[in-house]
Amino acid sequence: MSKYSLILSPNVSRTNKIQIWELCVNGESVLYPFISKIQSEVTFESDLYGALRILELAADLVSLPKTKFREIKGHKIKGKLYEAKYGAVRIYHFHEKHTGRIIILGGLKNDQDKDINSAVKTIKDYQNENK
Amino acid sequence: MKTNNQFREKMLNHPTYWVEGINGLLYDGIISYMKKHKMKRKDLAKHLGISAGRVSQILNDGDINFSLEKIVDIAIKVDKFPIFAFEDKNSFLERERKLAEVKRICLHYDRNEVSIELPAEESSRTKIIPLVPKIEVSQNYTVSNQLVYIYGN
Repeated sequence: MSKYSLILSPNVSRTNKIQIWELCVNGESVLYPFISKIQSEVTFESDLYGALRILELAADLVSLPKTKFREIKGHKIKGKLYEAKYGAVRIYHFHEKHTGRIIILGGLKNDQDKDINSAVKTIKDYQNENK
Repeated sequence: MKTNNQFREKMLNHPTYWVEGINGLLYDGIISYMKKHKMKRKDLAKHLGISAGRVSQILNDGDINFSLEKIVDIAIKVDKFPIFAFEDKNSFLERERKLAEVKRICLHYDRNEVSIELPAEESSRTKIIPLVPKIEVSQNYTVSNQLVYIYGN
């Protein structure tokens, strides 16, 4: 059985112009542990809601300021890697042609560099598996 | 597969979700208007009747934070009607639940099928079909590797 699969995200609106998916590793969404962590700590809960709302708006092709939504460049993956951010929360996702936006990782501002590297590595691994 | 619909409901019950939606739409409206009329920031400040500093705050951070009256005023000045709707929570959530039932599918790349997660009582209405390249069927739903599914057959 392959390591990666996709599920339409149950955590965002289903009516966006571009569908939003969550990457699953061995059947479990990559976003699930992050959501659980944020919910248990409470501090960044509203930041998470804001970041997911921004992700939805971007998937509806709404213009957003770079402080809330930006493309991360300088990686060597197929497709564009994006960061949706609100307060301390960051949601990393990329665009896969004909599929939509795929959430790769949720993280906090302080772990940004590490998380971006991790997101790029995961995307490459996922893309290699699905060649 | 773990899902978290309670989380979605909690998010919908939090003001941040809705405020951020209004911020985003107003920002988008302002940007579109500036592009259409080839305006600079100082032109926009004059047009909206706000300070240049406030314009920078909006355009740099997307931080609107105006009174309701000012938001409506800005929307009208950028050629938009601010249409607000108050929808019953239960109706909204019910619609989301129905959407989730129809479109929650799981793509497994090592299997030649698409699985659909549905409540047990709905399973008789679910059909898992083999993948057929390059076709489009019900719900107009296709994905990159031409996986398709049929629901409610």
